[in-house]
Amino acid sequence: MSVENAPVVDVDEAAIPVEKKMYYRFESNDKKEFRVSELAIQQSETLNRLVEAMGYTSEDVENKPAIAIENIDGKTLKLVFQWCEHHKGEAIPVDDGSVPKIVEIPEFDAKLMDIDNGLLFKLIWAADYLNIVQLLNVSCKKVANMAQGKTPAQLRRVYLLPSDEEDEAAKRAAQEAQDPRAREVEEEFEERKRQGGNSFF
Amino acid sequence: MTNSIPLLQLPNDERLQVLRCMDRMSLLFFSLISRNTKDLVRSLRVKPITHHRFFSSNLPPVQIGFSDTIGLSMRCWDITVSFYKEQQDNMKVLEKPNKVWIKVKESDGLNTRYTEIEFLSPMEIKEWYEHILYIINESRQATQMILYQESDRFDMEIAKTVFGKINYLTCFFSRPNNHGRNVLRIFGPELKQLTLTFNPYPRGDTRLRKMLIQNLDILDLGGHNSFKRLNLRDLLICNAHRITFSLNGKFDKINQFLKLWIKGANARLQKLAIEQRTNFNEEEILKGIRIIREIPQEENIVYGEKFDYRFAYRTRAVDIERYDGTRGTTSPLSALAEHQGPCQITQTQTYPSLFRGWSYANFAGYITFPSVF
Repeated sequence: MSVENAPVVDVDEAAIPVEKKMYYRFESNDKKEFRVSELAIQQSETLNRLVEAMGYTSEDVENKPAIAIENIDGKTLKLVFQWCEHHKGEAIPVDDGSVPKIVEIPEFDAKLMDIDNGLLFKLIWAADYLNIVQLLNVSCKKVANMAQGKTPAQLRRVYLLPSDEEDEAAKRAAQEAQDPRAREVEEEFEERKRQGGNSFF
Repeated sequence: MTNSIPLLQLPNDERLQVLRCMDRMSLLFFSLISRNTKDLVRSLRVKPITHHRFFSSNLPPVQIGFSDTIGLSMRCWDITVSFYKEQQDNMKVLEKPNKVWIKVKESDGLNTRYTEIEFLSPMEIKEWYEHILYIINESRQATQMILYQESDRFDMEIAKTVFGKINYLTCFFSRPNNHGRNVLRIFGPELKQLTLTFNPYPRGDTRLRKMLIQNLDILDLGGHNSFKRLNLRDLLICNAHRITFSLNGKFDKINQFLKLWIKGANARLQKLAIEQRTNFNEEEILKGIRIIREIPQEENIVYGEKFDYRFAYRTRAVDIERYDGTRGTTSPLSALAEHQGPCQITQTQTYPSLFRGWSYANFAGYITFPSVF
């Protein structure tokens, strides 16, 4: 996709200091391109370090290829950058380790996250990968809120949680897949026990 | 739009982050789903709610209550898990409850709201107890058992097998007396802390003395002047570190007790509070006792590292010293109503009788009073 056709995220020009007015170009794994302000990028620790390390000038940004973000698709990345632009310049919260963690979801974020759970899931992954602390907070809070007023049985369905039996079966399957001999050894051991043997070896 | 999200497929940190954002009731429900979810909740190391600093700052993390209205309840965090709110067969022997009611405090202060959910109980009482201890990372030693009126509807022998050793027992019921005696027989020998509002023993019964002799950490007898038949001889055989006597009558031998303490009686005693229905006579209490120091009214009296607000209402405080150099502070406290006027003290307005006729004495070595002496 050409730079001209890239879905540029809305920017509030007045809110951006003159000296910070530089826009970086990023490309999702499905080749969608985005322009993101330097100030918005600061919300992402990963991207912020990346652009600092690259040391791009304004010319570099225009002339060099867009920075590829391999793990995130365009639909998710658009949400991420919309969020970053809206919250640019805001302080990054520090985790105090409290439980329950008090997180307010602002109206803008609530609307942004009014999406399919599949996309919400990808948004959390993206926020984790890009290390955007507050986006992680609000997206995790949104998932946590799904638990409110639910019984354990309902929670199991909401979060697709396996039962103990399903966990056991999955564990056995994983073990067998890893070491097919293990099952044979176990069966041999059981057989010897049935025959009254004291020692396996 | 899908209604589900595969929580366990999130990276570990984010999975825990979601859990940390959940309210406590959701966390409790989440922990009930499987062993894996139980371990996840435990890994959060959720701390108990901070309680009111004056009246309940030292609440144990788990409280088990037997009462007339709720039946059986277990409290942890700010959640109350209740059983037998509806009568069921064999609830006396704590058979598997049909239903469980889970109530959580949603907010604090004037806007305090509670939410309650009921559902079919998936577990036996013992399993519930073990589950709660597990997810909050606590041992059985952290449990307080509270027995209210009509707790005799439940078989305490069975309760012992279900809950095991209890360190901290509180008995708020007044009758029947044989229930009180039964409870103390079953749980008494292993206790560390005992609060007993009413005396279940008849006059001259040696079992009361046996109880007083125990090496308890805290012995709290009576509440709002309810305990009958306690005298100097009883106090002298008490081996607890911290003792409160709230008497139905009058304790008229404090002076004699202080003199005996100076000579070496009650060597384990660290803190003693005696409450009676009438004010004490300061002169009588301290008659013939050598006073080491008068403590000025403006000086804070600190026990351990905590300031005890009740000393702010003292009429006098003095240091005395026993033969081995151990120092103690003794301080008669007046009734709040007489001292300040109840309307001015909103914090304690509902407890005016708490302060009526208090004599408050701390006995300890220098180590426990570092900031005072």
